[in-house]
Amino acid sequence: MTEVEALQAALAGEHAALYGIGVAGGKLSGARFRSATDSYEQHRLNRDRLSQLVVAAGETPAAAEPAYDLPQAVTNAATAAALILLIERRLAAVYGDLVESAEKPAVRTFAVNGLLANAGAQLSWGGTPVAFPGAV
Amino acid sequence: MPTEPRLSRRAVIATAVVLPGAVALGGCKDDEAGSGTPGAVDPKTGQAVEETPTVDPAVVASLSAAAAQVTLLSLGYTSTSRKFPALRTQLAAGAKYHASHLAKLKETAGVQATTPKAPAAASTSSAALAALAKQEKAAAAAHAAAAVKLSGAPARLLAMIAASELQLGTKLTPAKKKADAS
Repeated sequence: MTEVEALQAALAGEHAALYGIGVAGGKLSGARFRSATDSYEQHRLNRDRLSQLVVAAGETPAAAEPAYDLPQAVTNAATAAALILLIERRLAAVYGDLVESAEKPAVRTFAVNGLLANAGAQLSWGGTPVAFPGAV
Repeated sequence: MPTEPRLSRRAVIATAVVLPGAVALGGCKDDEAGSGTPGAVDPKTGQAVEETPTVDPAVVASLSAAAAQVTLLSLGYTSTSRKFPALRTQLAAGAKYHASHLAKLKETAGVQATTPKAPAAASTSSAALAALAKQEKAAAAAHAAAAVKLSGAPARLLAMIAASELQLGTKLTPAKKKADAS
């Protein structure tokens, strides 16, 4: 995988994450809703940064799909939190790929920070520590 | 009446230069046993020696430094579990993951972990947990910084270890501290 391919994959992942967290947020309230809102904002910033990096590499950023198939039905707060946890786990793997494929230090720094942020977020959404977050 | 194309003098010379080389190569057969250069040979046995690919010394140094830090963390878990048996269950996952980290780091040829002196556990269980949490977070920061300086699979490995340490450090941090930090 080239650096640009990994950037595009991460961008596609962030598009999907924004959709999923948006859906999950509709089933959350109070502190959980605020956490989801913060998470949404962080992923929006990541999406924008990834778009910039793709443009800087001379490519056209991957566009978001109109809608995404959710891996599980979101019917209440528990399933909403489970969806966000799954999104963070999948994104960690995508950022792991980006760390490995990165050629420019700026891209690698962004990817490492993204992986750490995903790993931390997993704990906020009911996850437990794992030996290798971001492993495929 | 069409005239046949005539070869220029330059084309004739170029063909004359290339052809002997092509003929010489055509005489080679690389599919026969014993053909080609034998490579490195053990002078004692006369057998071909298999060479293992060498790893960039900077990568080995970086992974060895990480291995030393992971070993230190493992020793911290061991000494804390020994002094406070009630914490054993809580610390089991971290101890197991650090063993996995060390094993993975040592898969790279040349990586060695120094065995530092085991750190003394704090006097109370809560202080010991806080100390471990602090060490995990410091290790996460160090390994994330080291990952940025490498590339490819070694960079990913250090980044994943840093992410795991961040999770373990967060999990060990008392709830009150987490609330204060947020």
